[in-house]
Amino acid sequence: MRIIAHVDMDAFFAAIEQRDNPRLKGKPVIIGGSRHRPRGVVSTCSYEARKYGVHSAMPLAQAVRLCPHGIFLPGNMAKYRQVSAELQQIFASFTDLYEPVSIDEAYLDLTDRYREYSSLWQLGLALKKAIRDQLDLTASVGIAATKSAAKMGSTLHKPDGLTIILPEDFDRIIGPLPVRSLHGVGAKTAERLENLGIRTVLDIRRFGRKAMISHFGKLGDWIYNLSCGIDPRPVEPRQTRKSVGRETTFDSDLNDEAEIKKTLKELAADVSRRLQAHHLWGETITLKLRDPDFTTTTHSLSVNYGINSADEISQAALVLLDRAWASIEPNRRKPLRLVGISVSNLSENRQLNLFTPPRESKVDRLLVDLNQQFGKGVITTGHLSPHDKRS
Amino acid sequence: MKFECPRDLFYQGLQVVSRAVPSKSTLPILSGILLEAKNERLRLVATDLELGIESYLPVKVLEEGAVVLEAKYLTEIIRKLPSQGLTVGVVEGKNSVEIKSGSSRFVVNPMPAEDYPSLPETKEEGYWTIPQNELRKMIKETSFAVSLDETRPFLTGVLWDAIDNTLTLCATDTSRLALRVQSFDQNFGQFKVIVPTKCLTEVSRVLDNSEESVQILLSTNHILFQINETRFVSRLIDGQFPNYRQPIPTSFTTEATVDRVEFMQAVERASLLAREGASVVKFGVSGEKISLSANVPDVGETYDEIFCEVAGDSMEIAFNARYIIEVLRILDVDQVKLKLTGRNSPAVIAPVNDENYIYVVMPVLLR
Repeated sequence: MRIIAHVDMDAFFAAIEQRDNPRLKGKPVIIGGSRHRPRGVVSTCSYEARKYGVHSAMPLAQAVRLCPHGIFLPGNMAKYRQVSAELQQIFASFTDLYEPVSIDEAYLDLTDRYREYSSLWQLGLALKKAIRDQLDLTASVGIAATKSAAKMGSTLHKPDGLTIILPEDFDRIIGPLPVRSLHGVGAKTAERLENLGIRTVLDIRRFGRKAMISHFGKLGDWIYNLSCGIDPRPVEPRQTRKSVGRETTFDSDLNDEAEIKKTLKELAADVSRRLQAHHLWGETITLKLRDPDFTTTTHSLSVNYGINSADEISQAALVLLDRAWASIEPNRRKPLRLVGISVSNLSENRQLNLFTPPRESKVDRLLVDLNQQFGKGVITTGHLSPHDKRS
Repeated sequence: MKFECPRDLFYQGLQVVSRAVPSKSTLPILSGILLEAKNERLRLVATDLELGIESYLPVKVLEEGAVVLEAKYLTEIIRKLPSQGLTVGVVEGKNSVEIKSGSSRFVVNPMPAEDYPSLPETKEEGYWTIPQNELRKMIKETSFAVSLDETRPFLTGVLWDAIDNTLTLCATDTSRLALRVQSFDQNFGQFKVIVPTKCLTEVSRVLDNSEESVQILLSTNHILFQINETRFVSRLIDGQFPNYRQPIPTSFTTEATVDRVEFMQAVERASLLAREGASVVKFGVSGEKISLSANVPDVGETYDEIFCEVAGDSMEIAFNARYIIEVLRILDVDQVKLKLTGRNSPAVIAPVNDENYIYVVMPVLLR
């Protein structure tokens, strides 16, 4: 079974404005234009504005009438795009298989990750927490076995919602929903369905595949499948993978060299696992460091052969850390808030090495297999063991 | 300090030594070139503390002494001056240096010569000598194969492995390896050192095709090359060079003899469609030809073939095109042999009729 999450940011543009300007908190904020020249439509509005009946795509003039004391802002797309990029970084820290649908919405294929959590609920909470901690914004998340079910899930409990729809719960949760909630059912189709006496998802199922096809052709088949929870569409990352990376924010700013190096080794092991799972080798390793005042620096080095083993990646990361620290006396180093490692210049083709046998190390392979089977961290190499005093 | 000399001579000397001036350094004095006038000679010195270059020019010394002048300004000024005599000298009673040529006059601020680091001492005896043309060829045939990977510094230089009268130069980045063996009329004794590529590249620049000799001296941590009036002193690289004999195959399943230029041009064409990063070319060796093909997702594909003599089994194998092109570019022969041992194992490119050069390259495993 696949595990797909649909993440939908709550009132994204308005929430960013409220976040960045505390005086807007708790107030009806409407993004789309000025109150004095109410042309165009509402692009987003805060939940406070929604109470007055304002919603996206509503003509601004109407919004002004419904919510005369609302705060109308033209919006700042450059800023929203920046936040959206940061959001994608968070998705990337969960999985490389994420598909942004729009500036504030994405699908994540978490099939390879969910076993690391005690439950899907915990996975969803972790995703929401990462977004809240790093962006100070809330998202509504739906988790299900298909894209369409996940998306329906994310709309069920907005804002700040989390909905898990397991296949066995599909009928109970989705069945009674109006047909319009299915992907591909627009106003027109809904009207035609209505004329056939079909109002809910479950009604479509009762109507049957053959009847749906005879009335709606290919679309009928598609809608019928969706009504049964069948949606084979994969989560498609927008472009080919450019890099594989992992980063972590420390619970408290960290200055302990041994601890930092140990974290880098763990991150390297994680990045290595993912490279190997995708049969990829990379030639550029980048180390990312962020200090407590959010100054972020990156340091890279390139090799002329593909690497993907944990040892090679952590070795390179440690060289980069030494290089980053080379010019700073140990007692003047700032503590670190975040460290990250990424590997780029990826290739599926592997340049073989003259001095090492042309096979990935059996130990690495075994680690990948075991961790995939039993969840991350079930087995690791000696120096990563938490009980190890040497590191 | 004051001297007089022809502009061209001075400029040539500056060009040679300025190659050792570091582009950036924590030690400001290193951005300068040391000029020392003494005994009818001008000594020019530049160093980045790894490599030092020192050159003597015959000049008319008007007043002995030494200064350090900012390399950037000095070389640019001399470059733009007309080809005639010039004088360089400390202005009396002032801390400034005047450069005069005809009606042109520059006054620049020097740095104190006593602050300039001295080059490592080397004993003047125990040199061995090899002809310039031989050394130049050996460097050219190997140094291109070094690694740029700073995490393994010992691969960024060229190994000099000497025993008795045989000198072997070897460079590898672990994906390919270039090896030249050469015998000389002298005994080197026995040593193994790793010489930084930067030093060899700079030495190569002043070497010509003559049989005149280069004097070479080795100390514990340094190597010194003396070519006429110019010396290069470089720190050696520490570390254990891999056993370069181990990956060199001795028997082959397939051997093709092919025109070097034709082969090189075909590989260059086949690599044109590569996007960023390495371009991988597939080689099919069989019958009387080598076929070359490349298929780059979202870009396109290409196919080519060259006719040549092939002995042994048919083979399909893929290489990083750069690794093939680079060696074909530096070899100075009409025909080369491409020798294969298997699609996952090392291949050899070597000149026909030259047992003393070998290039070993690992293939790329295609997904």
